[in-house]
Amino acid sequence: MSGSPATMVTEAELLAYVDDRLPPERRADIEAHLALHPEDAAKVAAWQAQTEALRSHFAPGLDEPVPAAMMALFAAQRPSVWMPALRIAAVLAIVVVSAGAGWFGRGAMMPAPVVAALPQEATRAHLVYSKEVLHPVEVTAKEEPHLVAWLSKRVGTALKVPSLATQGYGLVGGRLLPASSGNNAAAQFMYENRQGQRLTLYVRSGEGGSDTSFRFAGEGHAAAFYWVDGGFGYALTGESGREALLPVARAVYEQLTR
Amino acid sequence: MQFRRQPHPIEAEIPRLRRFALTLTRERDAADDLVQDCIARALGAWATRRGDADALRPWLFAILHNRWRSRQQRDWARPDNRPLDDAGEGPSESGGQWEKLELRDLDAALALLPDEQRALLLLVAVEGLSYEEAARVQAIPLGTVMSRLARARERLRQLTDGEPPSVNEGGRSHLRRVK
Repeated sequence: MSGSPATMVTEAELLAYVDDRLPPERRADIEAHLALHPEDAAKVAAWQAQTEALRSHFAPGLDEPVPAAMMALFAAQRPSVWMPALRIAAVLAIVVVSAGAGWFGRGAMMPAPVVAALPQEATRAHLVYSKEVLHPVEVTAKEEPHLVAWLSKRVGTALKVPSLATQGYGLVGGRLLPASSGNNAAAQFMYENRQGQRLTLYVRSGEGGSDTSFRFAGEGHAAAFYWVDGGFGYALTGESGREALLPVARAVYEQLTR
Repeated sequence: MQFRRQPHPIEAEIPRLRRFALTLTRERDAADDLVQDCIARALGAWATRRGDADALRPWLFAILHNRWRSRQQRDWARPDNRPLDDAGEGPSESGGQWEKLELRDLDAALALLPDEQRALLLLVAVEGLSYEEAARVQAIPLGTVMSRLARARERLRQLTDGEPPSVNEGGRSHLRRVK
């Protein structure tokens, strides 16, 4: 690189010129340098064109929908903790609220506090396991009698596995899960249709409130119909939308409460 | 009834985190796995974040990059693992295979860059991070950012046969065969 020491230009400065990170007074020096050095000018022009090309190349990447499993990470967060200044107050508030109910059970929209966490727990479990390719269930439908006996014992009630063949869903199998209620055990049965869409039926004990009718809760892509029957909470969760889920949930409800 | 809550500030950054992760891993499942890991860690460390001193986006990118790097180190022993060497300039870094490739688009050219060079291009040229922020994300000195960036740009220029990658009417970059 020729040029007097006063106008000596480094490669780092050429980069900064392209990225517009130079002090304004230095830009003119670089431009004077480029006018005298065609090789550097070609390099800078190429880098500038490259930057434009990279921007348009990467732009579509931002339009993709966020997977439900990522959003589920936030569902597990307590809202107020996000504001550092309010953190201590939030923790106290959560302790107070948690004493009587699930933290999620605040607000007049929730019919019965103890039931409140049911659709959330079911939805979270659904989002985790319905994505599983290798291990969606612990025990497959091939061993259905064993599966039902095992989960009935752990959850503490004689479980019935509804048949959803009419709705196009076959049983994949089931697994045991932790629960925040009753004996802390929940059962999850997974179903799948020909298109590979999955539904999960979640059952847990310890629902203190009285029996409830059919209720609906939705978050993001996932939606759940749930109810309480004889101290047990049931939730059917899927990602096909409320309309598609409703007839299936009704079939489950009818088979289980009959 | 809906589960109602305030959106977490991190949520708005997820598309950028996914794009950064995909740039590093070039594989969707691995990228999303990395983003899950990053979000979980960021939520765990949220309370320790130093307000304005840690601008949210570079902070998240740094966590993601760090997770990516520790996975690389964990997988280091795998015989099929590609070397991470940032200094590789010539064909040797990918066994000379690239010479024979018909480069169809910018994506193919980017695939031939070492992961950290490709990631740095995204950080600086696309995300508009300052060099200092990029240095913190990649946990390298500022001088290394400058030399890595120069190498990445020159290598990309080479790979696109001395011509700036231009976007043709089909929306894909047109690149000539590499000599």
